[in-house]
Amino acid sequence: MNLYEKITAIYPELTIQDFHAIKGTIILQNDSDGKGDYIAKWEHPTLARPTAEQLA
Amino acid sequence: MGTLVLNGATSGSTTIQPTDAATVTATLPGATGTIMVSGNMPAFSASSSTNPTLTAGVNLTIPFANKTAGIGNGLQGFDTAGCFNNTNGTVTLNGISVPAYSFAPNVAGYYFFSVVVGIYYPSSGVYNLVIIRKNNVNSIVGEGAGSGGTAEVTCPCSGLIYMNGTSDYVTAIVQTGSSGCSVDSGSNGVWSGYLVRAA
Repeated sequence: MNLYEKITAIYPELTIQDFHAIKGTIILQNDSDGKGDYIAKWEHPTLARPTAEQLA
Repeated sequence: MGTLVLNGATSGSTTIQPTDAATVTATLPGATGTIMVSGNMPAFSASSSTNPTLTAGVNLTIPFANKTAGIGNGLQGFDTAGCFNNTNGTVTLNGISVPAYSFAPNVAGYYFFSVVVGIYYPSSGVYNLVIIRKNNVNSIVGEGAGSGGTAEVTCPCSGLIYMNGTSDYVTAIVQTGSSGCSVDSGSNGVWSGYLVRAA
């Protein structure tokens, strides 16, 4: 399960528009440096940023 | 008259060398500014030899790793001033820290950038974006044309960005609303830029 899938499993109410690179409040990023996906920005107005334990 | 040598105030010199055996006229404009020559006009063009898989909703730095080999469609990559990092890690180029697959020119000025990639078969109706980011902030956004489904969606993005020549860098990213598709950044993808005018 990738990061996007983990987050949307924790918060099923999120849609792909919440992750939109321009309009979204959550930015997931992969710098192509071999370190994988990570949360670059979390500014959702009501949902808290998932903890490392939740994403493990 | 032969060459004209202008000595610097403290050191160095500038030599103006006329073309031999030719009669030409070079007119300097009646304006203050910096004369641009090939040695202070960084330019690059690069492509990718991989087609990375995309995850919905994730900004992916496009791995443009080829800047000298053939970049598709008969083109040849180049990096005239050694300002483009074609590796997957941060490196120092010309004294500037440059993240993976990013361009950090060492001459201040206004640069034109263009990136084009294709996305293989995204779901119909989803968004497909290519973005040029300056210092990790969205600067120019291009949206893919096409309906997706069984078609490849081409995403172009271009525009002018001011670069300070000492720390600014630009990176090209792609994002789609569809999982399971991939970037066709090889034969249909090129990331390039060049100095239009000095600051």
